[in-house]
Amino acid sequence: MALEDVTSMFDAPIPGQSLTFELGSRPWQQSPQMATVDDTIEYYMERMTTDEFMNQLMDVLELDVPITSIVNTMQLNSVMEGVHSVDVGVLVSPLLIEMIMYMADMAKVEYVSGLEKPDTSDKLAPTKVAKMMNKFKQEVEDIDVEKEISVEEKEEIEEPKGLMARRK
Amino acid sequence: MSRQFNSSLASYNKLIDMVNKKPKKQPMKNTGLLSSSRTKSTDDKEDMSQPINRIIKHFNAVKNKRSELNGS
Repeated sequence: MALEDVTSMFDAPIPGQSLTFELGSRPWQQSPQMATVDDTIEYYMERMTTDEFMNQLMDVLELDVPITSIVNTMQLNSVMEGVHSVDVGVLVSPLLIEMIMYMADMAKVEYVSGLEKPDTSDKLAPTKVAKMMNKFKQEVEDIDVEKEISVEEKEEIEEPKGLMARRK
Repeated sequence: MSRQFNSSLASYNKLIDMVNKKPKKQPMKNTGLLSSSRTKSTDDKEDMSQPINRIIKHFNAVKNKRSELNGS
């Protein structure tokens, strides 16, 4: 936990980093592609109603990733790509949250909305458990590979049997 | 859950507050001679030129659909 605090403290841009590029060279420094809220809604609805997006979204929701985090990432990414401005993104976010909740209800997928009050109990988050399990699985696989290698090496070393072989 | 500020969450909560606190239409009480003769029709109607009102309209539509689906 303490390590996480330290990493999050340093996981930020260096002050002045945004000024190291020429002004206007980044998509978010240009005029947005969608100027109005209506265009932006249409843009998101078109993308969100594809089968590919639906399947990916349901997979992510089943991993207990909060909907608010998904929506925030989506809209920040679009701002970064210069699709719409920050204020349009903030305006559209509640609608996207509601829409994803509706889609999850339709697909009968259990989800974490992110609107709940944060759980302060010591219960481990499923994502952390999955991460730890993967790490453990990798370690076990590494140990198995090492064992196999050492057995093969032992088999390969045969005792010399010739006349000139050293006696023990 | 991340402790980073989530603008989408703040925006959702704010919109829910706005939807819940929206004043309902009330009939005009003053009918005297000196009372304002202007009708409140312009105030009652939502100004659809405002983006937030258009968002609320879409939001309510999806929300109603969702509550219909969940049967509440």
